[in-house]
Amino acid sequence: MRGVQTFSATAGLALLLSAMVAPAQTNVSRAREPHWAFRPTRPIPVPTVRSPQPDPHNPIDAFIQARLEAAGLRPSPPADRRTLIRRVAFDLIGLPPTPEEVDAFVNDPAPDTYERLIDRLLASPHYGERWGRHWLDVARYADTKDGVLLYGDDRVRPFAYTYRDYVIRAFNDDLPFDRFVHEQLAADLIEPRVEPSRLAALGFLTLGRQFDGNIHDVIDDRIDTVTRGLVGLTVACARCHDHKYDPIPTADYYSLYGVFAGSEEPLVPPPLDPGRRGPEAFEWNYAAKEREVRMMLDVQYALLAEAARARVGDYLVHVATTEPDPLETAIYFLSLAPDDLRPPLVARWRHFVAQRAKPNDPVFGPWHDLLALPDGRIAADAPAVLADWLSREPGTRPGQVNPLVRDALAAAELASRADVARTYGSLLKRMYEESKASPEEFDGPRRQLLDLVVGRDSPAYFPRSQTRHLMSRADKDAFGKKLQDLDKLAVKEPSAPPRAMALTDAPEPYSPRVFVRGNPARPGAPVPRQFLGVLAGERRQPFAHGSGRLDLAKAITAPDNPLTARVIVNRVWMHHFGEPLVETPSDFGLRTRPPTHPELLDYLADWLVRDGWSLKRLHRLIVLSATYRQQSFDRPECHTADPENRLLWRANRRRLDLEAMRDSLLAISGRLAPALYGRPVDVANDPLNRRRTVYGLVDRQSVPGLFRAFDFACPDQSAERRTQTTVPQQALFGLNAPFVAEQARALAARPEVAAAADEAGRVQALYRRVLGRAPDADEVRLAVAFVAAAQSSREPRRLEPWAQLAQVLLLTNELMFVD
Amino acid sequence: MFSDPAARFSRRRLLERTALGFGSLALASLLADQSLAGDRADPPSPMPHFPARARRVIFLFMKGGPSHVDTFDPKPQLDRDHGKPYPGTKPRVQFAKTGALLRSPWKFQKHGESGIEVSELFPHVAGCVDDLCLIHSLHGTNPAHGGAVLKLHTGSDNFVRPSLGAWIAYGLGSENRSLPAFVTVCPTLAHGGVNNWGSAFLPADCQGVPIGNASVPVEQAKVRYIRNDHIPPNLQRRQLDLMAELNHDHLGRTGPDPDLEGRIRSFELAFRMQAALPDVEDLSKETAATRRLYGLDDPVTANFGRQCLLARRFAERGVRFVQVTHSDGQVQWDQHSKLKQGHEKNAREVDRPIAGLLTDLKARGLLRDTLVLWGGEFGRTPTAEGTDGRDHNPEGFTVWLAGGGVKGGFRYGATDDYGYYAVEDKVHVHDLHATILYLLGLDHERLTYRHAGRDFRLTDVSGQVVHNILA
Repeated sequence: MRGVQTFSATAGLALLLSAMVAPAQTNVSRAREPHWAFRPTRPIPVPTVRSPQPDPHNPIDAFIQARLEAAGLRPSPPADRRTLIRRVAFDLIGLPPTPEEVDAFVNDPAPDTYERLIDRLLASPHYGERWGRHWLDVARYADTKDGVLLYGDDRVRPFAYTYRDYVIRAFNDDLPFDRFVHEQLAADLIEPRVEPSRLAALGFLTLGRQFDGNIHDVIDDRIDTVTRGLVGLTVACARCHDHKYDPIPTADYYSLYGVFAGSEEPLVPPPLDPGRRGPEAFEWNYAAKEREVRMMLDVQYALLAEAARARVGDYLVHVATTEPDPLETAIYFLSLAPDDLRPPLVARWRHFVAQRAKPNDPVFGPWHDLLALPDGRIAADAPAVLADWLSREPGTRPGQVNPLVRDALAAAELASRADVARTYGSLLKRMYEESKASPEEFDGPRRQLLDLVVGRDSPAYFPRSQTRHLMSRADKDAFGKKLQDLDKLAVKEPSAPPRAMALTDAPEPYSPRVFVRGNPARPGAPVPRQFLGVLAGERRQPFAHGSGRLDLAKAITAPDNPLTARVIVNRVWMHHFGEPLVETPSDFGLRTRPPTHPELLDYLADWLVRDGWSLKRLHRLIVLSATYRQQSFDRPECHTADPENRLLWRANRRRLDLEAMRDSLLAISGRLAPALYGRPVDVANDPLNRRRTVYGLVDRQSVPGLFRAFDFACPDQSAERRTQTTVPQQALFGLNAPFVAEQARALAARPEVAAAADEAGRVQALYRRVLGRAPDADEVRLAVAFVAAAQSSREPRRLEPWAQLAQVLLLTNELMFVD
Repeated sequence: MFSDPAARFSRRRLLERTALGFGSLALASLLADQSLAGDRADPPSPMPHFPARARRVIFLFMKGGPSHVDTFDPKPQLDRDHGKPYPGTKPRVQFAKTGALLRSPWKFQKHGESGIEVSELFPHVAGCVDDLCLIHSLHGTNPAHGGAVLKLHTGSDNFVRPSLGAWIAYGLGSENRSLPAFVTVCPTLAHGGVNNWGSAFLPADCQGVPIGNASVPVEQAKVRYIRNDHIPPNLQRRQLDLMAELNHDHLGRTGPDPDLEGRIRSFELAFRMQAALPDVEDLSKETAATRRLYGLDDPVTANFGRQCLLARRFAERGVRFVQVTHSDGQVQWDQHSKLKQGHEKNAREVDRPIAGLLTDLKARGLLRDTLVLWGGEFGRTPTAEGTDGRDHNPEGFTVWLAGGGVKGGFRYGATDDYGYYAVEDKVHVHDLHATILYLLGLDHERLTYRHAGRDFRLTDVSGQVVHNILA
């Protein structure tokens, strides 16, 4: 942690210095100058306002009031304490304050009582549950895989929850945001090594959809989550063409593609706590199944690698006699018979031959010349073509001819393209077979040919981690089933020790090429693995370490990257005020509306970085502002001038979201389970479940109706903010769901309600518990009359009158909205 | 009850705005209603874009892929060349390996004034052939159920995109203040599952409301939480009255606020929906003749008959998009083997109900502005899988439309002599979507939604309206 602090302090100093010696405008390339989001952040002077009030010390208020003054508006007075504690409690921990907490806060005369309240809420472990959930929206978190044929236990990722728990802990620990980014992108690469439990952070990358195994789409999803989620740029738009609006060329997309293509998920997820063991039988079964998986992979790798080399002739004939087929690389769910040529290898051979078949190539030069002949003319014209090659100097350098190729072609009868390819194929295969007998005798022309089959650059070479894609349908299914079985063992064993949905670097980095029009079958110009040009500027350097994930993470949090801090500040602001400063929190591109308060956004972004990226301190700064503490009442004169409250002349009234709604009902009824963390539970269908909603199983393939009705963020892609709709299904849930009836019953049965001296006392106890206030006389009268009428009804009922009343209070707008 | 002047004023203003919505565009559903309350981004251009020829859609989805060459696309050449190899090139991507040509086990006969041939699998639907607009040249891109079902429903076979019904709900809303705009009866939970009726990035109120699912007989299928099991309706009414009073008092203290008012109204809407939905689902008031018409008198046809009858009842109450799915818990029309038994069973289950629906819609004058779509996610190969089955075939297959704005007794497009590929007047799934939207008065290029930095639409970057099938 100390290292990070130092780093940030230095970065802050550097920023300060650069701002002093060179005004930002003169020091940036022209491309990034015009757009506000691409300009460097810098320390912004706090504006002076004519009548600072009510608290002159908080810089946020100065920025907000300066704009209000300019518009001829004044901020609203501070909210009363009862409103304020409710607001800040929902904001920071997602739960209502208890009546006792409300009373204590309202009656505490000490001047720092609000500060102490903030500190207590920020120190609560419930803080991480609330703010971690906000982050999980960005991370498109789900507990399940996608896939049209996955049901039941098959679809659950048994260890997805370790990422969710990692996020909650990271927020509770106030892990500096830059470090949080590093761990989520590259926990496996950070030096010094992090403890194994932190590898769970990598779920940020690995928990997306699997797209039926289409690796290109998986990578696209990772690029999208990282770029929209962390730097607010829609880089995925540049997959097929340069970005239509933003300075993001397709080349930059494939630079990032290379980073993720050079990363792979370990076959079996590593344990978070290597010392911990589950029940003996489980461990035994898991280890046995894991051995089975690894053994099958070993066997298949050996078989397929051998077939890829031994069948070099078949590949060459296929390449020489067929047109390229986009499906060779585009489709990953092909059913392959054991003897089929492997489409990805065909594509690699095609590409390889296209690169090598040049007039001067000592091996493929003759191929080039022969295949340039019309097919019908090969028999007649081949001798003349070969005569030219026979006259060349034998050797292995450009311009020469490999003598083995020359001799083989001279000896062959060439009547078709296939004949040419077969001749090459036989020769290469002979080299390969001979090398097995006596590997040491290979040099010069023989070595040159053998390398085409066994070299690292040979199209026949594939890394072990790609074995699965090359298996026959039957083997692939069998292998998939073994992995599935492994997962199922863990799903079924409640005390299975947690593992990380980790990522590691592939044995070799991936050298990306642009895919022309996004088509993997049309590889174009090579590009380095590197960061986005628009952010890295002219000093951009290719990533130098492995896959480049850690380099990427560092580039994202580099002090001269202006976007990362702005984007996270904007997200935090949005969750505090209901509206962000930049209305498209995951898109800061050219076509988006500028911030409502650009200087404030920059001030806070710069402040966050210099302060060491602490989100808790950012919360504190925000919620201590007078701006945050305003009343939410409408004021017609302000409403006319600024109907959307973009200038923040009042606090926004907000409806509780799904989690806060359900958690509040549990908290008020007194049934909320205090447990933190752990495997997912069924909160959507089990009316007796008492856990906080953040621990509910998020089933990507079938998002529960409850979640969808209450605007839960779609977990299929990174979500910038939730929509807010009011649909009758929400009301139906409130009126009819057994869960709500459960809470109403429990609430009516609470001792302070049930044991109240009289009916008015019961009503008072209910109001206090639900709304944190005493009812007025009218309210008491209404409630008592309601209960009396319900009691006089002779119809059968399963909810007692007092519980019916409790349910009404639990559904009121006063509870469901926060002022 | 509404004693507070501020609340009353705002309520009145709201009603005015709502009334305006009812009067002008068809936005006045309970859902669009919400958008007027201010929490939903309105569609980008005024809708409908052109005069609508249909006001609603009923989609009869035959899950698994019915065989076109055995139902609506007769192929005499296939009959003659039975047992011979297919002379053309089979698609590069096939789901399974198929062998020689397999003739249809069923006879085709001309029907109606149009003389269009229909196989003996659909004797009742054949009686309605003069109302059908058959598209023989539909083609998709994906040979697997998951991708193809999603493609048909959302226009994308892999990414999560709003479904056809959600786009229509987004564009037009519902015509009924007590019912949602998009209802899907017994949808399949597999092969795309919720995404087939989801709204993806569109507002949540555009999503389909599922009634049961494919593993549940429609009689038991219910909207979640539509019924209160705890107290009788009159007590619940009292709860709602008390809640409304408390909420209006609260509104009076806070000042006008569309979000608060929207939520107040949503409870009334829910209460109405509670009454309206069971009313729609209560088929007991239908006459014996109607029930017979849909095949409710026969256990084989009763389940799908109920679904079709429900579809009519939703349609006549103003639901924009009603989907009924013919599927058991498995993949109903997916006859990789035992084509004869499988297709005969399936067709028997749906033939009478579908004909009943068409007849009934017509008799009630609803067919004029209701577009009925029948089809599966793909057709099947003219070549045999094993000895007696057919494989998936997305290269060319038949769907049909009826009613709202399309020519009746009309055939459009054609597959090759064997029915393997669409060859004439090809219609891609995107084209079908564009045409359906067009019939509803929506321009598929202007029905867009801004998300993740760009404008999305149902047809992505494709889609041509098939003008030749328009009446």
